[in-house]
Amino acid sequence: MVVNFFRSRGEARAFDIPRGAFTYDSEGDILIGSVPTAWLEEFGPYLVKAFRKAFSSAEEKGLPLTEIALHYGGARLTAKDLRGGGIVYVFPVRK
Amino acid sequence: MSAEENIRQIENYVECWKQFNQFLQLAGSEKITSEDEAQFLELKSVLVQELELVLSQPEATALNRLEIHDLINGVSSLRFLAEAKDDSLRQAENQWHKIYIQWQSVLGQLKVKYRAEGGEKSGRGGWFR
Amino acid sequence: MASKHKVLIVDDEQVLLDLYAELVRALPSHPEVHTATSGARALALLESDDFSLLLTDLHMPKMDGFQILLMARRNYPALRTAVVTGMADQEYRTRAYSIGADLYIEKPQSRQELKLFIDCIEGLLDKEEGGGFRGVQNKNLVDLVQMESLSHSSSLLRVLQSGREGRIWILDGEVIDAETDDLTGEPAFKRIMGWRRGSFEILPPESGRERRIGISTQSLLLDFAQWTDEKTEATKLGGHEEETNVLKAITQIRGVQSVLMRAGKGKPESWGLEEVERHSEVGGALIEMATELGQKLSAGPLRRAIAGTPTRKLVMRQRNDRFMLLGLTADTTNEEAGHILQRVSGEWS
Repeated sequence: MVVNFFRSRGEARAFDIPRGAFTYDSEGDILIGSVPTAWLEEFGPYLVKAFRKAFSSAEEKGLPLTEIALHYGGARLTAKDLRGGGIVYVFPVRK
Repeated sequence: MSAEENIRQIENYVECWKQFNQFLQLAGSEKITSEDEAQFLELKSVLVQELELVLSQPEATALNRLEIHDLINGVSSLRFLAEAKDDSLRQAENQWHKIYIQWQSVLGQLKVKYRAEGGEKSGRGGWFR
Repeated sequence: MASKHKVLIVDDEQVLLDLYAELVRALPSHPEVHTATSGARALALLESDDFSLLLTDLHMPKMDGFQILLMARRNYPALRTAVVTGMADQEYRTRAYSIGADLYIEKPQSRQELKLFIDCIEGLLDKEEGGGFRGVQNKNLVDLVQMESLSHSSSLLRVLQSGREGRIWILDGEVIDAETDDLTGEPAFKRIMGWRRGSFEILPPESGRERRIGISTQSLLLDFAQWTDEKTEATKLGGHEEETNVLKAITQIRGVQSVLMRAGKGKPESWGLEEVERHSEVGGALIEMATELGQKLSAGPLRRAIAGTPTRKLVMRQRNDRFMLLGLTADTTNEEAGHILQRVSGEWS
């Protein structure tokens, strides 16, 4: 994973929702991110898999999506489809 | 890294670069939310980091790192651009376009190289959409 | 054997068209080149074949490059699009990119610019000949009329289906008349819009056409959606009248174009929405995915999911077993979508 070569803005506890973004390519490989590395390694592949599946299955059903934004009580996630690859924004929500 | 991986990486970068322009257009429309600002900031961060990856490719040497940094640094926020009285937005768009064309050119050169290496026989997938 | 890329070039000047065709044919990937001297011809070609790239000039009589781009972007999301123009105008460039053009490039004037042009066009073609697959071409007449309406176009939409022909007259984005078989006005419009497969052509507007449709295009489309629903649900209509009124009331809220509600695994009820089952399925799958993701990340309860499509924004929520989806205009911000959902949820409950 390319992201291992870069240090991010300091490590966070594994389960804290960080603030940042990361990109993945059309094969689903994570390229780079501004979120803490530990968090990205833990959750990045899962997020990429989930968003890619959501984009591709929506397209297969004839309703292509360009963006998916999920608003939770403690986080906001936004994935933008970049012609097969994508960028995911992650933001914590203060309660 | 194979030519195919290089292409994938630059394609991704070019798509991120297009996102930058979408934010510039948002600044032009003056319909900016705090979420847009936050995403724009993170996008800039990703673009700067990923730039180092892609500039390590020989074909990308035509691109000027300083020029790209100047553009990214020059746009401190969408609100700043939207409220600027001068033609900052226009200048940023011009600069963005100039660099975008250079990226497309690099991508074209890489694809020619990829074909020359017989990459089209690999049987792997191309663009999805 | 891998098939070649197909490139469509549109320019009203035959000399330039031939020149570009020659340049593009000489690209290292040797694509198959097709040409068109008008927008109508270009759209007909796009309809009939799978192209990888559309190269268009901007200034052309009748249908200009922007209109072609709009149509191409909407109907063929997988298609790469490039504008090649002599106009070094920043306004045009910004507009082209905002429509979704992949590239805006000026006509090459020197050897150096020619090299740049060739590299850029090659860069837009897939890296692997015949690789990948095209996206689902999500075309329907409602979207087409919607787009003509949103772009305030004046045109004559000619629709063909199995030997039948329909015509829809649009003036400044408003549908003013329609004609097919022995029908005119609204009945003709409904019949044409009900056609599921066929081809269409956008012709220049006809001046002096008498206005037979008095209501706005948006109301017309809503009426059509209602008429379609009523037609298919005719046998059940009586028992659902109250719910239908609720749904109709929701679409009166500013910003809401359509609404869908579903209880459990039951049949969805909707208003103003085309392809109800499709929206219900995609929305349901998205909520399921989002719920799992939220648990995995310990992100707290899912408040809402928002999905952007090329033409609209869909905002969704699920409470217990009740699922709700609202169709909003594409320029609605996520923040506004949240407020609208909150308001509708209030009225719904």
